[in-house]
Amino acid sequence: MRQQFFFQKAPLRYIVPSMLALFAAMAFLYSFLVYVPLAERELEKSELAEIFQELSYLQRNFERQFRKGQFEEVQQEMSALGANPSHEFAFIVDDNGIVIASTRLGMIGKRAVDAYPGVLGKELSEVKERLAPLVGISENGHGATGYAPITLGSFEHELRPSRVGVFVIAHDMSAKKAAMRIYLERQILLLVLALGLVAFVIWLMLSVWLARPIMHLRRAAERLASGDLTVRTGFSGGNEVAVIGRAFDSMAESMEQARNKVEETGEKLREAQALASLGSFEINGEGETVLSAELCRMLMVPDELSRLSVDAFLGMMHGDDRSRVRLFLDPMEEERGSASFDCRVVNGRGETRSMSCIVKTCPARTGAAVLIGTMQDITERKAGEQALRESEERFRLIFEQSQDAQLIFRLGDFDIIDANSAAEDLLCCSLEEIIRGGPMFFMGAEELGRLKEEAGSLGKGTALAKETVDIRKKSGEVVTASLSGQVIKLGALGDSFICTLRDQTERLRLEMEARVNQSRLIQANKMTSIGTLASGVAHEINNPNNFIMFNAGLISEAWKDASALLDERMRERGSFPVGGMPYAEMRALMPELLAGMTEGSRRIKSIVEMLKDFSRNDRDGLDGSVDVNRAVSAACALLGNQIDKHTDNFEASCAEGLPPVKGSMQRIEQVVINLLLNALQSLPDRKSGVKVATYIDSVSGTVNIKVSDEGAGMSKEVLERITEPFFTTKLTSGGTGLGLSISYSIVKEHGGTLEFSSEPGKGTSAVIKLPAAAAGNHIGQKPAHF
Amino acid sequence: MLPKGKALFLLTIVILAITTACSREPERPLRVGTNVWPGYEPLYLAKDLSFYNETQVKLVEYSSATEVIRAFRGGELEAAAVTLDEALLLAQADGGFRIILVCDYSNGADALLSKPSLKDIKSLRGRRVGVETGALGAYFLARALDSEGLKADDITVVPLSVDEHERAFNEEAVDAVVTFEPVRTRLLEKGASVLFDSSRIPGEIVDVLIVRNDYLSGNREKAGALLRDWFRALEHIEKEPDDAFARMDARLRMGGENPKEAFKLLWLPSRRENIGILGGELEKTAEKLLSVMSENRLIDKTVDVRALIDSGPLKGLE
Repeated sequence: MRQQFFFQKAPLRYIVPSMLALFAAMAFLYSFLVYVPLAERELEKSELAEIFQELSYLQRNFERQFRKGQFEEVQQEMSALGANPSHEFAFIVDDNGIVIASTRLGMIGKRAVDAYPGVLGKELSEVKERLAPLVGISENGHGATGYAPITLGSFEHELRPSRVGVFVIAHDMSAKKAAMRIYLERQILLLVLALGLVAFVIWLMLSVWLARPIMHLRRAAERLASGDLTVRTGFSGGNEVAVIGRAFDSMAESMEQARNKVEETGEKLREAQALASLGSFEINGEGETVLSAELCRMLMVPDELSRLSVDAFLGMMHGDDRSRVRLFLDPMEEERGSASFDCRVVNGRGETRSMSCIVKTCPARTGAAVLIGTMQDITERKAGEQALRESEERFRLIFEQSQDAQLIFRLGDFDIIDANSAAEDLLCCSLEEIIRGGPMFFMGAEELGRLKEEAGSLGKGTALAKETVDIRKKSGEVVTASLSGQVIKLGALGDSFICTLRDQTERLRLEMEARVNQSRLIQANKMTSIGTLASGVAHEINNPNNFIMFNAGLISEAWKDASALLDERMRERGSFPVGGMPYAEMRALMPELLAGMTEGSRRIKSIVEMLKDFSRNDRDGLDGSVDVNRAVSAACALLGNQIDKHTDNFEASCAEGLPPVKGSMQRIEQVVINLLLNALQSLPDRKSGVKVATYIDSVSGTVNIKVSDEGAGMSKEVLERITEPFFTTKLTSGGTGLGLSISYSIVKEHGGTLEFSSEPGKGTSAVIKLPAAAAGNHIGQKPAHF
Repeated sequence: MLPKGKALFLLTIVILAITTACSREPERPLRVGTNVWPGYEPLYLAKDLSFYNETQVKLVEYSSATEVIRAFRGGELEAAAVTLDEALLLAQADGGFRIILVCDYSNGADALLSKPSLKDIKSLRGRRVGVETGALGAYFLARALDSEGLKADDITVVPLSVDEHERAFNEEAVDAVVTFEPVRTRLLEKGASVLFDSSRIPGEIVDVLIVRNDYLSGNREKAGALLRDWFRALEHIEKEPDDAFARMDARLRMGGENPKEAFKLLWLPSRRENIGILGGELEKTAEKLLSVMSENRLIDKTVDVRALIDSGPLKGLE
């Protein structure tokens, strides 16, 4: 501790007046020692100036009087000078040093040095020499003597007067000095008294206005220091202590508010920590760890354990994390600043919880540094993050694995953000190209505009669906796809439009095929119905027809017998009517009628047979092995006449080494005959040709027979109904409408297909496709012409 | 709170302000004593034209040259305009001054005037002659008597200061008087006749400006400024003679064309001429005066003339 001086320890109310009193004493002394002599000197100076002036004036007067010879007036003047109390004496000496005029008449005629012992001859001669006035101060300082040269007149034969005397005048300054000293002393005394009074007043003022309030302030400060923040001085007024008092009050107010705020903030912080599961801890330089209440709760340790050693704290960590965490918990590691890390702790119940920690080293003002840290339970968050990651992964997987092309557009500018690999496949280009190219890359401007508009107007949860959209691949190929999409929110990307494109080319093709198949099914069904009907009808017609056929024979035989009798009758009696006509005509007509009946009946029988064939469902005779070429050759041979009759351009080509087909030779032959007959009958003239060819289909592996003609051809409507029973275009020329339907049935029985293609005016071609009986390498066999 | 440096600066300013405001010592004025003489009038003309603004000049007017000399000796003046012989006389007792300017050369402005009945100097024998014995008058009279071979004993010397000349002459208290302008003109107007004048002893009657050494040592620039104002006044006389003479007549009280006429009897050297005179000519003149004065027992001791002359302030004007 530094040594304290008296004035540092003593109260101000004593110091200030004491200092003033001291100052007064010093001023008193100083005034006496300095100002009084100074004032005396000033007095002497002014006295000297006065004497000089007086000397000058008297010198001029005396010289004039001497010049004019007015010696009496000189003495009169001298006497007048004697009346002045400050003039001790005055006299004039002539050039020989004899007093010629004086304030004391008795001295006249004496030598000056004798008459006036105080007057020195030296001064007299000096004045005469220099012809200039001179003033000297007496040794005791109380007197001043002035000397002035006086021109007394000239000697004989002298132009310039050289007789010079001296005028001497002695001043007594003692009275003036005494008066001045008394005046000064009084003034100084008054000043000292005034200062003393001021000191007293100041003491009083300081006691009342300074010391008391300061004591009050001190007591208030002590109370404040002891923690009573409600204490106030309550000072008012404008003096400095009141200002300090108000500042103190304001400070106390602020401190109180700050404390309340701190408490409030602390409370809020505790609540917030509890809400956020955020605990805090502090490790001081001695390695003591202090846990916050929230952290105790989080770790499920009793509050008594809130103060523990670092090692004990580390003991709560998961064994795997302990050594890693230890590195972060060193408060001496000041350079680190702040650090964050995750770790696992084992709580009081033995559960492992994940924690996120932030630690920071704070350089302590005193002692060693302190490490503070926060710990937040992130177990649930971690689990959530994991779930989110998995969900994201799933979404990504679904997105990527989707068979449908999926593209994500930003809703505003409709830029492509992402696309899956199916989209890459669909558009035949890479993801980069898709993103770079944008939707214009694969969509027409008009369609894109519509899509943008519709996507923009989509509400939440509503989806957009388009049956067909034209998509242009990179190669320029245009495919039809269906489009569906909806608006979703994608985190930072905001509203996005996820769009799914599905290539519909294959589906449309299959649908078309299905439609064809369906019409075929309907056709087959129709056939079946007709077959059943025909079978019933055939059966019903067959019996009556048998009657007719049988009876017609009988009737013919009967007619033969009856005609002999009737001939006789005619010869006997002449012509007679039979059946409304003369017998002779009847006789001629009758065999014809009977033959017609037989013929008609036979024809009915034939039709019925055919109907039976059509509807017959048995597979008798279908197990044979058929050489298709032979069947074709037989048919051509059978139709030799017909071919010759209709055309000059007939061509038959049979592929060599065709595999046999399973079925009935006769029936296949029948089918070929049917087809050939139709082809021949459709020819408009002999120049038009008919071709028949056999070959193996390299794709389906079937053995095919193709019959094509250059005939009239058929319209689409006709082509669709061509296999319907009883549908015929040759009704007038005796077509039954059963030939092709039977052929169709036969081919079907053989597990094959019969396909027609035709256009009006361009001929027709029919292809029989029959499954080969055994597999063989017959692909690409060249047809052999014959 | 103020920074330390700023506070210190402010304190310095306050102290400076207080000291300059409170304790400023009054400037010592340059007191110049003159009697009435046309050759000294440019000093008053300069004052009348308010030329003195650099130097605080206080012109102290005396009724006679004797008074001027007494005042200079008594320490009442810092500077005085005196004749060269008076300056030598002063130097005899106290050499504490310097001649810094030649005001004028009298070429007829100083004269020995007599009653009309007296025709020449010889007729003065036994007559009463008024003269200012304490000053130039003694020298001038000696030169006048000498011109006709008379001695001081041949006449009765009546000591009269210049302010007494006119009255004594008019009252016939004297038969002749040694006087100078403007009294000369006034007496001539009353019928006095000129027996002798300064044109008879050209270059001897010189008026000079003397300044005390103790003033000059600390105030050379102020002395220089006074000289500059002197020459400005001379320029004014040259350029505006009517105005200048009208102004100067206020002190001379000669009336009409008289001042102009009186100035014709003087030569006021220019600055350049002054430098030349102070540089050597004046010393010769002074030596001559000294021998004349010595012969006539007007002076007891010899004087170091060269040491008396200081052309520094004049040269400093260049």
